[in-house]
Amino acid sequence: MERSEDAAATETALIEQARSGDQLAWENLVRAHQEPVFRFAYLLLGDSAEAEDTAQETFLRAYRHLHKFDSARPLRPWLLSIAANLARNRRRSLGRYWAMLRRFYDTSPAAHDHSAEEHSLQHSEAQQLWAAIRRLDQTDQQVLYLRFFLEFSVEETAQVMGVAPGTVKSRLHRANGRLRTVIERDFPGIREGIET
Amino acid sequence: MNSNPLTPGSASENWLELRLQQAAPAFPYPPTPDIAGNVRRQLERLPARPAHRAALRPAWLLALFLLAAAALFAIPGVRAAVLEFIQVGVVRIFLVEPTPTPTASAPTPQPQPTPISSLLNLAGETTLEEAIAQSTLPVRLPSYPPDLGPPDYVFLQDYGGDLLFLVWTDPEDPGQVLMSLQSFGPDATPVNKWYAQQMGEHPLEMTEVNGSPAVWTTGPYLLELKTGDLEMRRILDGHTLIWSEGEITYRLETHLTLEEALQTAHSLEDAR
Repeated sequence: MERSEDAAATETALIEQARSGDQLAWENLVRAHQEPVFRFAYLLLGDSAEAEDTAQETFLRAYRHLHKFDSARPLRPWLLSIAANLARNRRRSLGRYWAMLRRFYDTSPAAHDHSAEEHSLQHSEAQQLWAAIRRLDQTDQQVLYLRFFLEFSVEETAQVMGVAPGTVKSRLHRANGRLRTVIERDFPGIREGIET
Repeated sequence: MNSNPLTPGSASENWLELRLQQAAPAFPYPPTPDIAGNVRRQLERLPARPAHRAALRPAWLLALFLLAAAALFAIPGVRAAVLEFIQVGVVRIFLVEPTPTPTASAPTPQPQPTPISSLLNLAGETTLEEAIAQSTLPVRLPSYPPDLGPPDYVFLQDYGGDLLFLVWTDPEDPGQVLMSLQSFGPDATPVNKWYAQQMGEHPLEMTEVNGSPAVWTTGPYLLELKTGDLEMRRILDGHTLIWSEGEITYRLETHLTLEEALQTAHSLEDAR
């Protein structure tokens, strides 16, 4: 997933053009990066429409703040760090909404059925893993999504998360440990799949 | 129950990582929408947005303030130059007489937004949920601006009484503070010192929030928090809306306009 020198030079040139107000240059950059940004937002939010809004807002905000970006650096980690922050805010807002609903339903005799939601997610190994990862905190989720789902290098993951590569490795180790605990407790089907 | 748990360092740990490597890239994402087209249409509709608001603030405001502050701290007896103060809740705003300021050789620093790193050493960092559970103050969150969301950092401190400090960072630049809201209990004794002479003709504006008197101050200015032996000083670049409701005093630090700050204050809702 490392970019070539040619690709880097092209990206730098497009960034400079976009900075000078060339919206077509920015559109080309959006097209080049929209898929990982959308996918990352989808993994974090679990909703296609929310992910689309977040991705769109990511590119609009990045465009407005392009003057602050160091064009010698790759664009994608910066975009994903913006997307992560927007998704976090959005998820917190959604979280308050769901918490309110949960409080309502918890006091209602007809409590909602958790198993239906989980059952619908058990269509593939990747979806099962995703459902398990979504039980982890945001830092664990991000490092696992970036490394395994989006196949970012350790260095690129570090750039997105704003930490050193060594920190990414230690976070991965801890996230894997916590994921195992979740799998054992809540998703034994995944473990059986692993052991067969 | 399986008798071979997935313990750290075991072969199963590698199996899990291997499974992640094999299965995760095959995750069935929904089709990626035409985000580039949507962004282009949005950009075509929107007017050109100004650069970061802090960059628009005249540099001389902070330069004059720093000079004045240095002179004030250096001159013995300067505290006697206080003309009067206004009190809103537990916050006192001191109006200080101007002092002669040497301006010729002074550097002109640029105003900067508050870096989050300057706040991370504050005591009492907690989560919103913990603050809701532990604070003796009502935890109230603004629903304006509409895209604000919950705070990124929460601090619950004991300054005689509880002090709840909510911080929102800039989504595009998470290292910078976008807005903060402080709530003081009736026993806290913060002091908001503010030097009027350097801030223009109408730096202090009386207004109201939910029928209670409120004060709007435009930065930059010096904030001093004092209670007992504790003391904290910060130079603030933004503006501040100060008001009280019942026994609680609120300080909203922001780069918003007065109208927007009032809208933010009116939008506060109990987070419990």
